[in-house]
Amino acid sequence: MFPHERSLVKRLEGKPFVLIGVNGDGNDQDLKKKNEKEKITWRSFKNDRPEQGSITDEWNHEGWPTLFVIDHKGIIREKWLGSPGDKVLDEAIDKYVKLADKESP
Amino acid sequence: MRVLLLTAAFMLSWQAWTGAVQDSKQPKQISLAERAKALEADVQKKLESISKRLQEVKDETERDKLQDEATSLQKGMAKDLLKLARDHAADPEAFTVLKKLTAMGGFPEGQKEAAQLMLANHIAKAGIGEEAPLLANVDPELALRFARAVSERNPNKADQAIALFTIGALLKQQAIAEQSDAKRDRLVAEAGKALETAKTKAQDVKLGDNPLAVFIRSQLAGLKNVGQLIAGKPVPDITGEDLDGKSFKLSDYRGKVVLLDFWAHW
Repeated sequence: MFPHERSLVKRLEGKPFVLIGVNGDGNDQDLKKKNEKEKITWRSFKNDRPEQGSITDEWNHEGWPTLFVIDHKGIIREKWLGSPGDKVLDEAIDKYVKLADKESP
Repeated sequence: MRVLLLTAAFMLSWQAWTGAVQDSKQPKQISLAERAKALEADVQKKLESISKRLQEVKDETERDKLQDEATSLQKGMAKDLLKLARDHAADPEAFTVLKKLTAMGGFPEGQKEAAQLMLANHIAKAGIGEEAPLLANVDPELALRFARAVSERNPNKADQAIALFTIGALLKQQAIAEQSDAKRDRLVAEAGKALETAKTKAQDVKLGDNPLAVFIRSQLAGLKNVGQLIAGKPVPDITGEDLDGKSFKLSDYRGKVVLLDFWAHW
């Protein structure tokens, strides 16, 4: 998953697109090191929140990874439990990025 | 490897259980519980010998063969226990035998029949509630029927609480899979009612090693989002902290296409 995400972020640089994570590693002391090693530069929420409870509980999470594509207006467009594969992912994202470009140039 | 570990774990837990009762004296009239234990002790001996051989064996094929042998012994025992419980279903001691069967796992048909027998004969027994969530993974429909019967007919608060929690969790699952908005809303409302009622009865109740209240809270947390986390619907906002501890919101990125990725290093 990571290599494709890295190239996705790079390919869509300057476009109306952002990759946001919800990270489930908890209090892993080595998380920073691991992220550096995998060159994970995108921003992630910590899944565990001390006061609100976990994001996964709130989102009825069924398994890792789960992916959502949300369009520029904040409408959910795709939801996948498990990666749908690079091609399907790219096509969906490109479709909505193009739409975002067209509607807010 | 995983199978091997599972088998070992199974043997250990079972040893602890049968070991504890082997010293008890045999009454003249052999009770159901004792018949069950005799049956198990016999299989246990055989399993112990397989376990010893497994430690020495080096050849993969030989190991697989021994594993298969252990599995079929366990299945055979489960079948024999089930028959014993079936033949004396109304005997109060049958409940203990049936509970052992459902805890065994890896024997779904037996687990289902055991649940049916409990449902028909032991619904008011203390400790039957925790059977409902166990059953949920095997047969959700039967689990729902089972949990409803417990919640309506069992007098114990703890059993009612666990049954109601199971009803709530199962109805929520149905709601998530439901396509029609109206039906989904109805299921969510029903699930909410069951979970809220479970919450009022959950004090001091445990499910496994954890407080039941924790499981109930976790089920309730996402209930409002069941009808929202669907393609075509506005995304619920997320507020939280990033990995550096800085607060931010998902809606900070409105105007951009977001790929939201629930990920971890594993």
